[in-house]
Amino acid sequence: MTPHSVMQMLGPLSRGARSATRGQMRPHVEGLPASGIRPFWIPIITLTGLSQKTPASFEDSISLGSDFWLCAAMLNTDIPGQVANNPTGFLTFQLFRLTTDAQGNTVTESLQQKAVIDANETAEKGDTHGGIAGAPSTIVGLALEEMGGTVARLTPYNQALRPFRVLFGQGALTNPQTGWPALRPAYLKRALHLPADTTLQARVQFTAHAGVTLGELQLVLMGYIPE
Amino acid sequence: MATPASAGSLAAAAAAGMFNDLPFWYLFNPPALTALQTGIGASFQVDNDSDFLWDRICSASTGIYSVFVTDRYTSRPLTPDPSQPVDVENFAGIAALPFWLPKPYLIRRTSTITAIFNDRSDSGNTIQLAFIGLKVGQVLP
Repeated sequence: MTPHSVMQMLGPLSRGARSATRGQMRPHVEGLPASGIRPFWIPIITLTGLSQKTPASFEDSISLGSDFWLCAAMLNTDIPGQVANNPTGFLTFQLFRLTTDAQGNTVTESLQQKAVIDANETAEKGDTHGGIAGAPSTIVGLALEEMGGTVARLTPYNQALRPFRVLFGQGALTNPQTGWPALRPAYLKRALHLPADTTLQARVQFTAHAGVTLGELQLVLMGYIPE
Repeated sequence: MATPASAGSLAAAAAAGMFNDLPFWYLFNPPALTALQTGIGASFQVDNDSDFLWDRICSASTGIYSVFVTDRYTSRPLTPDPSQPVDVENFAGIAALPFWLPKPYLIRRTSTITAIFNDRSDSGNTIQLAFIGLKVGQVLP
């Protein structure tokens, strides 16, 4: 019996069932080499021990030691989940490639211009995911969204959350068992090839809200490097 | 008594379409971490009966942690440095919504995968981290 015939037996799936099914499917990321690569996670910003209550920005950079095919970005923080419901976002995330021009000047190039992402579409497919909250730590998934071609905005509460809410019920922003990732990260539709020696810079902007303290944050790029 | 499959029987099984990929879970079960304990190692070895096509990561634990993983077959890490472990929220999902590798990675038979765990919960932490995938080329009995 093929999976297709099983689906026929089951009949039309509810939205929640479709989302659940998608959660069990491998994301489709184009543009990866057919072979000779291995998965790699790059924590590009790691902040701990903060007690940040006022607006602040954080940035860090890395130089790639080898070619890197960027497939996904994940961010977690301990900001409470209910704050994540702010539709304007309280964290913004930007990723840049730094290069040097002929005059020796540093040129900052936004990578979001090259990352082909459609947040709305992928959200509908359950491939781009929003926020998760749960004691003791809140996890805010990362949805990369093209904003003027330059800024990727964290979308803690928008259509990206729909699959999760359908899965676990309206308002149930935590996985009932673990409070841990209940939505998948934002996979790029097409892997972004970054050559060796590329310098990447990530910036995170924290927009303060009353009663909110930013204690920790990590931004991770997931992709592949040569085997 | 079972006898090892010969090359001939393997070829015959393949010709008959009897190969089957076996879903499999390889587990890291480190000793329970104390509050903010760091550098606790754990490992698993891929069975000698087949290569392992790794495509999902899941975790269950009593608290948050960070992890640094190395494929000992190639002696290459999966993150830049032990000083930059990845928070588990950014590394693993749960069985209902696992973290999927966009492209599965083949781990050779008998390879050892090691992991170093660091507690971030500030309390005792019992951790299970699972690499999920397929044992490829299993021969049906």
